[in-house]
Amino acid sequence: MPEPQAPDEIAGEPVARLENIDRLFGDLTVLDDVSLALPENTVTSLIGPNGSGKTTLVKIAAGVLQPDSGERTIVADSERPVGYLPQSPQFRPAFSVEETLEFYDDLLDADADVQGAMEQVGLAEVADRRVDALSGGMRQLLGVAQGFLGRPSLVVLDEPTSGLDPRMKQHIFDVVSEMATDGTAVLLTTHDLASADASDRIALLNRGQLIVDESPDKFRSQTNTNSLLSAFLATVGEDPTVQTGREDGTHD
Amino acid sequence: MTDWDDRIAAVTERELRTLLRSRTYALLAGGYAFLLLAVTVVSGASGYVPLVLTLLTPLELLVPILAAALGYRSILSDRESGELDVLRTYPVTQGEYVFGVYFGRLVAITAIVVVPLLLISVAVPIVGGAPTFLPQPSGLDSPILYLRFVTLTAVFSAVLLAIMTLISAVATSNRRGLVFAVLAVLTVGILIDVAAIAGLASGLSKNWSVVTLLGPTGAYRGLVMALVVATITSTEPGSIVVSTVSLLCWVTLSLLVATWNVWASTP
Repeated sequence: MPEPQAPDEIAGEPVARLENIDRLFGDLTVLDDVSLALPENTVTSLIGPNGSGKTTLVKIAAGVLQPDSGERTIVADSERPVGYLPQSPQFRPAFSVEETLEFYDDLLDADADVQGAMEQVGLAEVADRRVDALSGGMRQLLGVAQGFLGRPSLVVLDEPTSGLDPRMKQHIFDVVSEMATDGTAVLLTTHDLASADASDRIALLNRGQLIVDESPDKFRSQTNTNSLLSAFLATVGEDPTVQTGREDGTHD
Repeated sequence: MTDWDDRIAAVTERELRTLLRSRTYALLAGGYAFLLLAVTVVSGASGYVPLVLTLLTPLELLVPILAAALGYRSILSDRESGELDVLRTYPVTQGEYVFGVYFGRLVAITAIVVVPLLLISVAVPIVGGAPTFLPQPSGLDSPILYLRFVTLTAVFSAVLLAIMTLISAVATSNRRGLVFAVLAVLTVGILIDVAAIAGLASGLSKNWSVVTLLGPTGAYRGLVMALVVATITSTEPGSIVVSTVSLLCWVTLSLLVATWNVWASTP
């Protein structure tokens, strides 16, 4: 079986590869032979209808869930190969932003630049603010900063823009794009197709199968559409009850 | 360079900070201290050993409840918040994480349990009172005996906290964790004793009473009676060994199983 390759127009060595990933929950096939290569210095947006298997795939990419079959390879020279931000994370509410990041820093051998991380995501001015006093967007930015601590090769972010206003969504995408440098690849899931358009690459998962793995431009041109939303609908169909593919939607 | 002990210390410090900033912790500490003081005042115990006998039964109930309150969500809260998955991407092992959580909570429960016991004991020489009616081998009612009791109570709380840490590591939801914790409190505090008494009443051998020492509460009581009150050492010389081994087994097995299971039970 050939190794999964990134689309031609995306330069950069893959730092992470998922090859022929299968995952079942009971009798339900959530992921079916999914292969994906994640090149350095790129942001890949994993999109798909509810229940398509996105969260399951990113959990496997992050190493917190094991596939039933298939291989996950991370090329890393860092002590923390993968950074991860789960869906709706809740850090300790009584901790400040700085304390939260310092705790994670203390788990690393090499000192991460906590101050630099806060500045990069724009939280330096609220370093002393308690987590429970942060807005939803600020909490996600804290999670993003945590995800990049220790310069992992792959950073996996599960719906980092969920429930945020358009301005904050765009800000988070901008921050993530700026941080996807120095050999780091980012894989994030999102339902926000307008923001996903700014990513380097679109991976579309439908009913547990990866059916698109292209740059946003190429995805649009292949579907003869002029927006990512149109391309998405042209690919998966417009009837959400047909496309969901699962009744309970538990494995987003 | 971060070594394993530094990572344990980081997790321990995180737990302590969390508890010290929690209103629940302050309420638990205050409530427990108030209850101990009330029991002491109402009993009118004068003397260290009478005070031990007054406090022993309430502590057999209160310490498991305290351990449950402080322990059953210790790991579960990280699982529910998603931080357990985040932690797995850092170079921290299951053992470092579980022991870090345990040590942090251990410092907290030890402070809650021990400080009021020591403060109450200060009143004994002030109150004075009649000499103890219990036959002491040394013939003395000594503060050393009371310190032994406090130490044994701290050990008892450490064992129960380990059991609650295990429950927290295997529970996949808050509801399950709470049910397991309540069952553990009932089993440890009541059911093992009831089973032993029922066995004795039904005519089983006197050795059946050793069964009580296999539970943490029975082992704690056995050690207090043997090493503090000194009323049963002459009749059951093996009880100290059995009780000690029992407590060691509970704490060791609980923490080992929690360590083995903590990553695995992430849904």
